[in-house]
Amino acid sequence: MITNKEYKYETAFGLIAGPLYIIFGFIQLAVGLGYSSGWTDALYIPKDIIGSLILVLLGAIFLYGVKELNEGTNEGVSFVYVGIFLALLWVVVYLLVMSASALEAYMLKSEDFEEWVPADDMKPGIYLGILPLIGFLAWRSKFSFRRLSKAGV
Amino acid sequence: MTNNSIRVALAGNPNVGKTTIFNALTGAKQHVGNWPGVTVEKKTGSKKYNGYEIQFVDLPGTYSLTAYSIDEVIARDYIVEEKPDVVVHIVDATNLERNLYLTTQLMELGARIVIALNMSDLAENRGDKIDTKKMEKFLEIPVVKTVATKGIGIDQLLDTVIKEAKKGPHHEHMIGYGDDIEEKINQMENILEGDITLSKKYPSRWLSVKLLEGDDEALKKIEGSPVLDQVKNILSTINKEEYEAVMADKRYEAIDVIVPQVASRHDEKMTASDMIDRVFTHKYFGIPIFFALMWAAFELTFTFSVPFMDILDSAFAWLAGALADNVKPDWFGSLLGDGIVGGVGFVLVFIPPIFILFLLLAILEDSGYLARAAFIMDRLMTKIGLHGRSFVPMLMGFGCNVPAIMATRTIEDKNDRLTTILVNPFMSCGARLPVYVLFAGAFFGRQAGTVIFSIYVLGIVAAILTAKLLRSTLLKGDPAPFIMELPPYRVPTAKAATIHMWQRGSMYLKKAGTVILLGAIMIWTLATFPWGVEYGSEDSYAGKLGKVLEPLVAPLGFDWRIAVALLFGFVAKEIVIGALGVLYGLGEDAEEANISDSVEADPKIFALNSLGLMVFTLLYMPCIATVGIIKKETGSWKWMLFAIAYGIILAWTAAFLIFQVGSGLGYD
Amino acid sequence: MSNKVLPLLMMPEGKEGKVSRINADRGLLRRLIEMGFTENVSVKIIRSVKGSLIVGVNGCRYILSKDIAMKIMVTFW
Repeated sequence: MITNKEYKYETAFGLIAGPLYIIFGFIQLAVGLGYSSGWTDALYIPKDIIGSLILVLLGAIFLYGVKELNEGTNEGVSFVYVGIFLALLWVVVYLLVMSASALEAYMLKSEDFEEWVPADDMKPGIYLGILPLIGFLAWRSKFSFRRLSKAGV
Repeated sequence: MTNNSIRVALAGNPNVGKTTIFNALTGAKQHVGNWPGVTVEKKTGSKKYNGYEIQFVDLPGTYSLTAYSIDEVIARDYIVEEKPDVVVHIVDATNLERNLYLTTQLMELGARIVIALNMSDLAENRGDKIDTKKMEKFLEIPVVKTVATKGIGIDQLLDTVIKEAKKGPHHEHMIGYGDDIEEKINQMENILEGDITLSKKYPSRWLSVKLLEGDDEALKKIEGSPVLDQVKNILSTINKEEYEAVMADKRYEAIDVIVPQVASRHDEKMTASDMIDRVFTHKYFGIPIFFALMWAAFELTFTFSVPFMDILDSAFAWLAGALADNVKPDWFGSLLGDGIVGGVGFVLVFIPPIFILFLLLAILEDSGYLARAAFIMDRLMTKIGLHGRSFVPMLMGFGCNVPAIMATRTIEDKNDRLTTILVNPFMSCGARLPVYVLFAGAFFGRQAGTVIFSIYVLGIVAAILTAKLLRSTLLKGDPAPFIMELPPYRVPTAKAATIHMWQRGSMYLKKAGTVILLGAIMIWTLATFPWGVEYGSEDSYAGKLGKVLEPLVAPLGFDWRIAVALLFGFVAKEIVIGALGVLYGLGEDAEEANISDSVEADPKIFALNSLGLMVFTLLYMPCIATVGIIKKETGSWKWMLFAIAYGIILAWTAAFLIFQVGSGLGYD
Repeated sequence: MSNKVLPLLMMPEGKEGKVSRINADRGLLRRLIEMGFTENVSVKIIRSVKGSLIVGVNGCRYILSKDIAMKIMVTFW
């Protein structure tokens, strides 16, 4: 159901990314609360409750944008763009955390990280990021912050 | 202006880029001090340019020049009394009306003004057109377009300043206030001119206007003057409140005539900033996004910094061992290794998380998000009897409580401000972070991040409950109305964020080199003497002192070492870690490679009481610098003592409950 | 089109109006005027969340507390 003509791609994006983030959020919440099974391992779902709530939040932001856009409120597109920004912010955070673990394992050879492999720090928050990355590239000009000034020293 | 030396004051509204211009003008040649008698920061700097020596003073950012706030009084007294050769007024090009209001007041002061029309790129980008030539004509003030963040227009500004300075004596500008008021102003001026010394010191039209507005500071200035009675006579014939309002309106009328002629504004329905705010200040999403951003900041601070800390930790442990083993005489090696590297080094280990935290805080602040937090939290803050505005100093407390408490000055109402000050120490500052990182890292493994985040949340909860308690008992009353500017979002630049991080971070380093160094030497001395006892053992003075204190903290599950560490932690909370580093004698024992291993190896410290220790460190009395600023800002010994006592009681109770309930449930 | 005079607080989000009167005491009135809340100036409600307001005046954004927003009377249509 895409009724907004002006932002039909953004609406479509929200319709795909929103439910996906929410579903993965709830799966991760279940794992965080103790559920565990082969297929959750295969999806790299970590035991991380706060992280799961963030996935749900991101999904909800995308869907709220869809709701506003479909109601004809064009400003609802901000939710899609800001959602993309926040989702990518989290990808960066997770990748930095992963690189810190890599540093521990390969450079410092620290005991706690003897058996660490990059997959240990893999999570939906990272691989779902491919979607917002596509959105970011598609709407790059919207993220140029041309109309925001730079912070001074 | 004398001998090619020019004195320049910078004036302007808050958030117009005044500091950026100041930095661009002066470069590294700056001096930061206080205005006499008050704790408002005073920045001065100088610049050699085309053979002139130009001295700059950065006046406090103000919207106006009335007598209602200390910042405004400082700014106008400086201009009236010190008579700088030129006042550079930084005007935000995106927002002429409000900025020009200050211009009208500067004009009345008789100052020679140069307007720096800043952020003109932003105004042009959004489609505004400002005709600076016309603006110069209407205002009779030179106008220079600047983009301070890119250094554009700075040289031109300096040229204009020099040109204006050469014009010599001060320059009167006029705002007409309408016949009735003008008549009173005339009468007042005539009276004031009867006092020669007075009229030499102050521009008489300005003083007349201020007196008619009922300005208390202006009245003080004419105390003891022979014309005082005559002035009072006139004042008794008018309604000062009405005059003040009418005169403010007249100033805006003048602006409303000028602005449409010099600026054509492209009206945007929604600015980029508003679009972002639709999400960040949304009624349902605002608070969750706030917490998600905080969590991201903590995740980075604590997880990302671990390998870098490990590197520093091993390096210092090696250095401590090498010094203690190889430097002769033995006692000197021990002082260097155990005392100085053990104490100071292990505080320095925490540079990575602290600098990352400061960097992230700087990004949040530079981007303008911090001001949004005030709005997002307003509803919650109202419930505890404060306003959203009090939330900004609380967040700043995550960096350091001292500047955070100073930042409460923008809160006018006394009880609002006092409450905001008293809850601030519960916002966990950067100095407490090493304690959490050490113990959470040692005993909670991969859950460390969550544990530390919970400690921070506990601090917020303690602050909220304390505020609620104070507001319903000692500091009763509704929060005073507030209005706060919401600056547009800005893109944080790497340069600005790094500089802000360094400004805060270097304080941490300075502290490590001074207070913490002294503390470490003192604790080492206590741990070494009387000469001959085993280092850091119960027979040392430290041990004896600890044993005296131990009964006080035994119900919390703390041993004597922790008691000593906490005692010295009053000076600066990093010392808690420094002291443990010294007491565990890192240089001595080659078995334990670093402090986390020594702590883990000590059977007297385990997960449960380390949690208690973290909570105790969070809540107990604020460090000596914070206590000092509380005294200074509240002006009361009573409230300072209250802050100390309340903190200790709260910390003790919380740690007691954690240890006793936890043991009862079988945790250890 | 009928004009209405209401406190700023009662204005719906996204609406624009003109300040017609401010019922505040001297100190507050002065502050508001400094910030640009003068007679007949256009104000826009950018955000309104249960009594906390973000208001746009002359291109600036301000957070106003509920009690202030009650004192600013606005004409809108």
